[in-house]
Amino acid sequence: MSDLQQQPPRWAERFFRWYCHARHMEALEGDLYEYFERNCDDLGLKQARRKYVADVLLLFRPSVVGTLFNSFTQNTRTMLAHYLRSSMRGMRKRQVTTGIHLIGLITGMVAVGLIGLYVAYEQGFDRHIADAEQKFRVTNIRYGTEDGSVRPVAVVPPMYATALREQFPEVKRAGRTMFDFGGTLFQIGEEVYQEENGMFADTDALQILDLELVFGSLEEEAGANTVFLSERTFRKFFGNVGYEDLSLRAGRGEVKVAGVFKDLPAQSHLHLDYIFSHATIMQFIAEERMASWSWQQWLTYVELNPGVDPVAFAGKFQAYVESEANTVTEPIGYSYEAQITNVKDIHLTASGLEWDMVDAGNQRSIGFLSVAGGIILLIALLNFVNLSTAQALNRAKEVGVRKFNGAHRYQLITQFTLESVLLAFVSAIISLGLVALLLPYFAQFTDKPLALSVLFTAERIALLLASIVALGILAGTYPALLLSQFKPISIIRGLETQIGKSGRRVDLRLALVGIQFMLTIGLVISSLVIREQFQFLQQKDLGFQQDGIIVMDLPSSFRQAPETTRDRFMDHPNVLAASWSYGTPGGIVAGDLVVKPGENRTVPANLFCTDGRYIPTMQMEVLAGRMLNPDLATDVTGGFVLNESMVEDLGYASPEEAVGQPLHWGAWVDDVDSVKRGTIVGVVKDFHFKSLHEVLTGTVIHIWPDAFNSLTLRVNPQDLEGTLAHLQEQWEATESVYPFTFEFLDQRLAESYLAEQRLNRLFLWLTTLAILTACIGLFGLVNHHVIRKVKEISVRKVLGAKPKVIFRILVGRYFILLLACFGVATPLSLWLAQQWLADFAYATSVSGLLLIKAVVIVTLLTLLTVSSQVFKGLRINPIEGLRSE
Amino acid sequence: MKGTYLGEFEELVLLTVGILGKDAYGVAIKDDLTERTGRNPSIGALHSALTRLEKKGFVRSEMEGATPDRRGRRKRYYRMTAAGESVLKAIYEQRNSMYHLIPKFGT
Repeated sequence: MSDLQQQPPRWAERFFRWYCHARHMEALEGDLYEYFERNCDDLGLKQARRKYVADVLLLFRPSVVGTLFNSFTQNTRTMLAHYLRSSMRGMRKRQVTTGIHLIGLITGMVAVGLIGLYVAYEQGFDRHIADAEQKFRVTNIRYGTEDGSVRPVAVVPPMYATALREQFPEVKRAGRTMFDFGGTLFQIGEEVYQEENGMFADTDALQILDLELVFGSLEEEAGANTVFLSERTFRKFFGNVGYEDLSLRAGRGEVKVAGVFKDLPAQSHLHLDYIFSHATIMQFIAEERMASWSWQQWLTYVELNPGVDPVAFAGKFQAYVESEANTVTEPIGYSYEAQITNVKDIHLTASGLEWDMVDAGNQRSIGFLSVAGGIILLIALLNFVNLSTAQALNRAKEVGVRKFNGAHRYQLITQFTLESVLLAFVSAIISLGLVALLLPYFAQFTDKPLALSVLFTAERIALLLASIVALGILAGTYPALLLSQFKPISIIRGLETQIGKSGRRVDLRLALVGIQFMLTIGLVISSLVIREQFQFLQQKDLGFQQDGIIVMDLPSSFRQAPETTRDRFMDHPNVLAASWSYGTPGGIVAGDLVVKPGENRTVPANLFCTDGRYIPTMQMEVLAGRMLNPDLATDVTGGFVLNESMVEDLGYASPEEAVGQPLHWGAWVDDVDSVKRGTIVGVVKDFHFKSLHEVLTGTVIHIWPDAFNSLTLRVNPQDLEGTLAHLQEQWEATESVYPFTFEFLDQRLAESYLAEQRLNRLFLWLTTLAILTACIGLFGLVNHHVIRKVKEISVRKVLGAKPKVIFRILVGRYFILLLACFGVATPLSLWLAQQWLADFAYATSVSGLLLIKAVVIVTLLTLLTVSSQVFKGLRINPIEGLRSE
Repeated sequence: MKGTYLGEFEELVLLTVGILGKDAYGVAIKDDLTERTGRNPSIGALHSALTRLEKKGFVRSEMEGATPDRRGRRKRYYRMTAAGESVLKAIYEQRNSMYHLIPKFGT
């Protein structure tokens, strides 16, 4: 006989009742008990309970559970229809609340939608490459042994690819590429095209990059003076002709079209229009140089065999680099740490690399935007929860009537949750329309070909629907729980419900408003910091005058007689100064080594090879000694000017001390390493010829006519057109092939901060949206508050309360809350801002003024939001307020 | 033909239902099955088989007979239908005829 003590586990019983289909419930439960009783007698209570649980778990199968639809009875379906109808009616009735809910949710969804599309785009790079899992790019972190510098660089020595091919059985293939800096001029018959996006590459690299050829083949290495063209470029050059046996002039030589490849997608870390064969560049490189461990100019790719663990392989390769390369490079001042990056990650991780030419995104900015989008959605959600609970009292009667008619609590919860899911769906549909409408502008703004079509896969649509439902449930659950717990008896008796009065609830609402305040403050501070940094980048003293500088990269015909060329371009009243150089700000600068004689120590240096007039042309500031003098024979053969960093790198205490000291430079002349011996004649202030993302390093300016490739001109800003016409005339008098090209230096430099400029503006918009959403929510809340307090205010007014008191009653606590929120949010957002600023080598410091700005902005906006409601409260006529009693 | 297909386990269950006659309900079927075949199916497996058999029309079921050790829950009694009988017969005949075709076993 059953003993009352003997019970199966309660949770298992409940679980079974929860999932079991009604049809099978009774008989199966009976069976379960029968076994349980028998097992208790035979095996003891403990075993019986264990078996019961096992049976319940094993019974959890489709034949017992039935489908979801089976459990929808006629009644459930009717109720669902009813909920839908009453939700619609309710929305129409509570227009202000519904409107605020909708606007909030839509704002959040649109922001998240646009940002989501952008982030998805940035994260979807190089998916066209087959077997990408085992394909990597090899880069270096270069450690200076002397100066302790750490510089991630994209280019590696030529021996890397050689070693990868020959020493590692794990490697399927390894390929070398080199960017075609400065572009190439192509000539087909009479037509001339200057193309910028090209490189030199061997077939291994092209196979790793999965280049899809429509003509030609990658079976064997292409010969010298051959080129692969993208389909787009091919059509541009040749029009609609067959691919076979075509050649064209590139630069000054004849090249053959070896192949035509499908245009690379926009989401590729390389944007290539032409690719010269490896053999083409090898004509200009001595064989011995390819055995170098110190010459770094190659972008190297590697494909590992299937199943090879990349992390272990990277370690093994690094060990090899330690023993083979670093033993060579350490005596000349640096060592390598080899890194491998999966091809799919190159786009997002390349932004910190020097000497990189790939399309690099910024992971940190993407993270920042995602967080900002999430914050807006969160603010909208909190709005929803807050307003719904504030409105709870208005719906108390509805709840009471439903309960009297026999509604279960869970039915009410279902109803209210469904309502918010419905609202979420309506918002989602409107948001989708808005996103579609705004996307073209957003795409133009971010300069990315974003499209809504990426959403149209079954998986993504399902995910989207699921998130909308989840959002609705998230927003609706708490209000539903709160509303459904009203006691019908107290509602019907006309009493204030306990819920409305209990302090705990009010505190929760206040806490939610607090979170919104904090998020808003965080966004405001962040966007102010970004703005400040952007202005800092634009206004920072670069150490030279960037305005009014024109840079022209001159073809070789001008270099025959550099002095004459310079004089001819100078022959105009508005051209104030001019200087030849190899090395321009924002352009290519030679990286090399100089030798400090006495100590016989080599130090890495950026080398500006000039004609001696560069310093006055750029208006740099001389700190000690003097500028170079092109008329002085000793300056031509051995004069060096350093920047401050170089003074430090060489170990001199002050600029003055450095002047007059000897310095050597290993110059490549006729492929023989000869040495230029000279003296330091002067020191200039540090000048930023690279973007401020990068740390400024030691730089040497000297006279070296062999390397000249560009002319820097300082011009009078007046009559720029006339000056440019003069320059063009002079250009065309000498050069017949290359068209006249020039750049304004300030524009070229501004381009390196385009990403920050975009982020700055995007963040401004997002912050505005967030503030708007938060304000709408606050407005709704205060609006509701004033209505509820009419009676109290009327009484107080009758008793002679001053406006100050009424103001305090209505909104005073929000301002106290705001103050508290500043205390919490400020340090947090400052810490976050520092994280972002860490990306820059030169960053603005966050000033107290900025914080004051943030306080003023948020406080003013809060005041503005509540003011209309406060005035409404102040104008309450006590007679009307009380007469309704 | 899907309707007349009978899995090996289902066949055993159907046979047991036939053997038990009026007393075939979940626990009894399981016990009898264990006794005769040495198998010990889980309640879930047995329930699935019985549900499938009912869907195919080989058994029908009705609820009756609550006992105290079932805490008042009624039992679901299963009865073999005419269709169930004929499918068992068909299977038996087919097996039998094939069995006799094996030379070693002869006639």
